[in-house]
Amino acid sequence: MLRIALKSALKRKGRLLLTSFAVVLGTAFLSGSFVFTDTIKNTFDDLFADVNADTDAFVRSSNVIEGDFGLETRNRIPTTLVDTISAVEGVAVADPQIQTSAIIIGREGKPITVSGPTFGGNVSDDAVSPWVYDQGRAPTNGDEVAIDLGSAKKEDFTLGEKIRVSAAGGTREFELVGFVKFGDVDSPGGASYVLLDLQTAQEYLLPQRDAAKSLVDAIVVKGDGSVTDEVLAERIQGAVDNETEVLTGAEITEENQSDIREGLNFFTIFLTVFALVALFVGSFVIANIFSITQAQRQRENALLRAIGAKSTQITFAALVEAALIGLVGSLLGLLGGIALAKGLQSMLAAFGIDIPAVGLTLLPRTIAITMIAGILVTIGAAILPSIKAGRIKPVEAMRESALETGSSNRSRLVIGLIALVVGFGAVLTGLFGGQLTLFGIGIPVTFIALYVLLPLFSQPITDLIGRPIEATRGITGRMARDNASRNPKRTARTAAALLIGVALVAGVSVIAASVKSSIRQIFAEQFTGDYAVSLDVAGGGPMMGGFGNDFADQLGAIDGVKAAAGISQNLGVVDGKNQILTVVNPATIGEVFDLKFTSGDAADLTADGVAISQDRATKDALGMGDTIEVQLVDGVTRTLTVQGIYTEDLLAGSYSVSRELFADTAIDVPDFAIFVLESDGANSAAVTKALAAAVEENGLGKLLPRDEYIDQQSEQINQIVNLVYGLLFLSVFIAIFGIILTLWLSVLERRRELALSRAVGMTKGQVWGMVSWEAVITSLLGTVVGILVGLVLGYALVYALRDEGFSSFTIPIATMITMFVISVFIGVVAAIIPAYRATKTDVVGALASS
Amino acid sequence: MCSLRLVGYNGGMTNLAPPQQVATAAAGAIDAMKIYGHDDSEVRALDGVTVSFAEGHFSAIMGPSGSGKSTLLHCLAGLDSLTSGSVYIGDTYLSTLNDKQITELRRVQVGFIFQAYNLIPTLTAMENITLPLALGGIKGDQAWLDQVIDTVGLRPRLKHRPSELSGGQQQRVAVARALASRPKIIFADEPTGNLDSRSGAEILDFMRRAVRELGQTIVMVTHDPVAASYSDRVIFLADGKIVDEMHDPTADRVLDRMKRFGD
Repeated sequence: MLRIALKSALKRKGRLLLTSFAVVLGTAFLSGSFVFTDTIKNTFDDLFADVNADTDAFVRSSNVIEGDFGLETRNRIPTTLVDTISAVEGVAVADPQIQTSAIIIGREGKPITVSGPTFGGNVSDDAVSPWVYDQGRAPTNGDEVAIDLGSAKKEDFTLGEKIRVSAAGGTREFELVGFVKFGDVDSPGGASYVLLDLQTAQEYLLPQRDAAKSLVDAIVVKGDGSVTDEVLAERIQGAVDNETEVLTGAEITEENQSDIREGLNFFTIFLTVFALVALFVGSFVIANIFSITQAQRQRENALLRAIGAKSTQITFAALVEAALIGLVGSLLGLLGGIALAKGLQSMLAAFGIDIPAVGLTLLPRTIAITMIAGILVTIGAAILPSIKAGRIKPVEAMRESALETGSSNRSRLVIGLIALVVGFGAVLTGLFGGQLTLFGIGIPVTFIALYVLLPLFSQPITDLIGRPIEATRGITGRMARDNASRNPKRTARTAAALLIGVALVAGVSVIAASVKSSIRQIFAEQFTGDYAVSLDVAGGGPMMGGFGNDFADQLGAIDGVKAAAGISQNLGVVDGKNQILTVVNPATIGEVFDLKFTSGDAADLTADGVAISQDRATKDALGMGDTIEVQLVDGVTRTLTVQGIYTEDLLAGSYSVSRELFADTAIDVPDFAIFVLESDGANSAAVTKALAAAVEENGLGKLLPRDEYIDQQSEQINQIVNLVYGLLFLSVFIAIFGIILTLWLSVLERRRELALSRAVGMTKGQVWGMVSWEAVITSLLGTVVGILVGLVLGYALVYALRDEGFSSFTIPIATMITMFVISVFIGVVAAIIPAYRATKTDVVGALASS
Repeated sequence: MCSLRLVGYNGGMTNLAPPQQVATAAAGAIDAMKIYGHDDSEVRALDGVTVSFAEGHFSAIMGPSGSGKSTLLHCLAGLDSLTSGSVYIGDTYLSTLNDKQITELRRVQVGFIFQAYNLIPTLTAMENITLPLALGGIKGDQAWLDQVIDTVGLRPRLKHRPSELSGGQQQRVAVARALASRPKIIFADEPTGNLDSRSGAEILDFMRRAVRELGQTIVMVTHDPVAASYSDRVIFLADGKIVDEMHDPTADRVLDRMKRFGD
């Protein structure tokens, strides 16, 4: 039986290959994301091992607060520790290290584009330096700077040139004296680096406060080789207090490496999710193709049964074919994944993220997961049709034509509805209960339910969609419509694969549109100023550097400006939980933002006060005058008194504090944006001009009028949404394969009537049109239902998160229309191969064979 | 042979009006050759057939299996192409036309009745009847359509789909479709092959009435002497050649002639 199965599968090589494409894209994405991330992990592991090779111990503060997305804020240590550590026996070099934010301003007067963080630091001692001077030398005084080679190349900077840099100490001009490489890459992970001599770094990069003078971020130690790193680290730990931690060289390398791995894990998960979506859609396609081919093979199978094959043998034969398809598909997918990884690598290079050119890393684990996933998905999808194939009665061999029989409509309805209730129930429970896993499981179950149910409802929909086509295309339109609805199961299942991609795109577009309109609404209600100055640097969000606090004051002093309020964010620990603190200037914030205070006012905030949201007050049973304990990054706990309660917390969050709270700390609180209000009766044109000049001189920011700023904020989501669309197109692509295959099989099945139509006067063009319109109807069926499902899912999500910032539900009409247009296009493209095949129908041969 | 091959060659010289003696022919073939395979395995399905079918006549083509009768029909109708020689419908040589032109010619000038699979299963009887007209985007002559529908007695069944019709009814729809565009010629390939004798007789009667009363021209391939007896003239084919011809045939005479092929 195995041999019969293999033979029959191999006989139809073209179909085998085409069907296997349903799994190729999914497995390619799966293996591609593994190969890519493994390769990056490997190269960064090597890179850090290389640059830390001379580091035997690493000393830093043990006070750290970790935020979301791997961001952490760590306290600094006194420079005096350098002497303490130098005195420890076995220490050869103790090199102070500053690593904070500094932004290079390009030739255009705007921050240079980076794809990573913007770092500023000090020149290291040669003995432990990760830096290699590619050109020039280290800066030696307050007027000189060295930058990473990657940034230098981007702006085509030359040595000796004057460039502007912006950091805590404001915007300053330096002379370029050196270009450095980090190990052997131009810039690590797309980051930019500014290197200054230690004294300049300390006075210019660190917060401009007394408390921050003579601090460093870490001390890098090289031993004299007399003891092991572990012993050295222990000795140093003995010499410092326990607010200071000492890591061995191996530990800091491992930490650096695992930071990268964690960053990449997000990326891997992201890609894997889309690979799984692609595999899921592929499984729909395979299930459909198997249903069709097993129906077409009914007589063959019945004949086998009649001559003595057991029904398990028929099922087995079908599953062998599925395994073969899975095998071919995953092998091609594996190869495709390697190509994909290579492509991603060059894409990163194009974005300026320099990765050392080494070979791709293909781990056995990648091969195993890809092959197993591809084969299991294919067999899993083929199981039901294969079992059904085995259930054929021998007497069916005598039957005239292939009929797709199946469970009755009644049991289909019952099973489908149960699945729908379970799936959509899980989606809703997950959404409203905040359980992401349940949500994640509910979505595919909902789609499976729709796959089961759609054949019951597809006919009226296809009839409706077909009506305008029939009206405009005449008899070929009519025949296309009939062909689409004559086998509702087939059409519905083919459309179901497309439905998934469309539903996800529609859902995402609804969510994105709602996010945008919510952001608009929030700003429209709360932002009462006239201008905003936002950081004009990619990746320069909160906690990644920003405007020095005095820049807001400088703008506030401009004639005709009533108030200019800078806003910063920092981390604090409240009741053992890490919380974001919004840092404001109490004197100005009330002029530009209306947070709707129910008690107290922003203007009354003192250095030891805090304003909290109404929600927070209710949850923690706090009232005016109550106190809360907040531990800041420096490890010191402050007792803050509640001095205000506000209701609008979507921008300000739960806790707002005065920037004075940080006045005697060394903690960075750069403003990520400054909001400006004009005085009544001020000359707007003059104010705009003066503001623009100041912003230009500073070089970091972008001045936007209120409306444009709100536009910009609401459109920030576009980038990620477009990426998601791109990845979802993958599943749409697979669905196109499904349409191609189904139509192809249908065309083969209908060769007699095609031949007849040709004989009585249907031109090849009309045949092409008929097949195309059938494809368009199928594609539109998937799109119409998909959009409906997407709208429901999107609405559920927006409604569930209405208190988390979704203040409005918006349907993006333009996107929906685009989807319809694309859907027609998809139908036309998918029809090319089958339509060509249909025009090649051998009229005489098809009519003769009876 | 050489000059005859030229006739089939699609050159300017061959694009002539049909010969004088067949000026009233609805269709015909001149030295038609159809060869399958090459060299040793060469099969001559048609081996120099020259024949014409006069307008307003009901002709039958007979011959044993493999005699080339179906091939002749397919080539005459432009469904298949000749290796050499030429066929014409009315005053048009098919070799001068491209696929689209031949298809459009079939639509208007040619009617078909096949043995089986005659109808599009998704269309109603009426839609099947008017299919060639609809494909050409024309409405057709309603009076003529009414006459045809009444002649074959289909009026009560026009909204039915093929699966709801008996075999005989399906063939009547096919006959009506063949007549719908009032074509130059109708080709029928074993039109009664799948029918019981009563339904078969009915169909043959319709075909004969179409010729006698409506002035149509029909060429029918059959292996049934009774069917052939409905025609005005029988052409006998063997090994790709015309070997005999019989006017005003009767079933017995045809049967006698056919028996001689067995020897």
